[in-house]
Amino acid sequence: MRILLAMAGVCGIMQKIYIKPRHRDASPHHMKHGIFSITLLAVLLSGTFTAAAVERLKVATLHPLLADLAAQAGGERVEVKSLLKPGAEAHRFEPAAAEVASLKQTKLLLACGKGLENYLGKLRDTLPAGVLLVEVGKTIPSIKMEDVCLHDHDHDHDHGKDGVDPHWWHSADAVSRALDVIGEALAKADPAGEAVYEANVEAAQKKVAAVKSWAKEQISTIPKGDRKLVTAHAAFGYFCKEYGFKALPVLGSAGEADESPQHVAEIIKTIREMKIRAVFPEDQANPKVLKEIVRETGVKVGADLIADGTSPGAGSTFEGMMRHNVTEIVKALGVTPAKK
Amino acid sequence: MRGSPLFHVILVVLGLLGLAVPLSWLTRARTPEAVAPTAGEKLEPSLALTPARVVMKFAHAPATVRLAQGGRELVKEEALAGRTRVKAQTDVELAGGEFKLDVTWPAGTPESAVTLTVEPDGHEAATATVWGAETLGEIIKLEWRP
Repeated sequence: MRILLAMAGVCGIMQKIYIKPRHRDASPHHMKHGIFSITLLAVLLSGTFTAAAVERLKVATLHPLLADLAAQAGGERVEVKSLLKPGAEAHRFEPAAAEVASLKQTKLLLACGKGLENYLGKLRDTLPAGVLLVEVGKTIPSIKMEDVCLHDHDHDHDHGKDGVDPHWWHSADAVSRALDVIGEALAKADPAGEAVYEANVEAAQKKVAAVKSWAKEQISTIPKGDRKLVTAHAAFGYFCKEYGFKALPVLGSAGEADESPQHVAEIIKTIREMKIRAVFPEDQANPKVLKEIVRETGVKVGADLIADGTSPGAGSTFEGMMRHNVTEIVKALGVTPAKK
Repeated sequence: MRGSPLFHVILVVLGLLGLAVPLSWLTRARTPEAVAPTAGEKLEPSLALTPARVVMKFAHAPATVRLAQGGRELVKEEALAGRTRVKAQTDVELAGGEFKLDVTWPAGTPESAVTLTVEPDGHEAATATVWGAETLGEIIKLEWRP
């Protein structure tokens, strides 16, 4: 289409030069115009071919954090869109049929994996031909919430599929692996860009490492005994493991409410016994149970944490989410003011 | 330039269209053809083997890098163009693995560190950091928690 438009435009210019004067003699003046026009046509057409040759690779993601990582790894060579928009609910999302059909030109579809998208099997069967679906979290080591959970597990509240926490984006190490997986998937879909993707991934890895160093430095101001993270839902397993916290989620890993009096009483008891200093609501989780716990215990309430990485703006990027969460956790639990 | 100008335009456009076909063929991206592995190049598949990503990070850009695992060459780079991160794929036994790392740095590079990280799929990474001054030849043993 672009080639045709360019040709039509150039033909128009040439017609203006050649035909309008209605001179049929081949004077040097008109020869010059002719050569100029042909050169212009060739330049424009070669530009059009070049543009076609480096047409951007279309990548879709099932999470805005993946879109952030794919954009970093792909740079100028990719056009990334997230089907799950910032502000939407990651645990309730499923792409509509029209959204799946719109992936016809897409070469690569990135999913978080680890059971977050429980519709993946169905989606795989309905994807347009030629779309490569990659579960980015597949090779990341899984964490079971019970490994980092503060309370005993006689209760039956949900901790994710097979007890696995799907929120791997709270770990810089996991994000670093994800970047490699994404870089390799991009190179598979667009082999000509492999060197570019490698260089972009290397640059993005440095940013991730810098965020991890910064987070460790900030968290070092929290006494080890106070590294207990009471959050609205079971989303911080990877964060807790990487930064030495114990987790006490009020709701399950998909935010399912267990408002039974026994469950609430157990959490209140744990908060009192462990002398927990603060609890953290989340940007998208139901605060009802947390409010009740705060009322009963008088514990300090921290700022909303970003759990699912779907907050609008910087909250749907790894760096923005981490800097926000660490800053707020340190503000509530640290013993010295956090440096930003 | 005799004859109808419109005719000239059509001739030019047809000529360029004629060029367009071979040009677009020459400039389009292609997937390189898969090269069949030679005998002994790939480890015997076994249930005990787990695919793994190998990542080497350099404090200073090296001149050459060679990494081998059990006699199999994983990396042989001699034109790194300032890169400080080199990757490879392999398979590992989770019980442990031995890697032979040889690095040279450009003359005048101060003593420098290399971090070798091996990330088996679904398992924690194992990492070792070694140091060298202009050259390095080291055998690194890594273990993973199954």
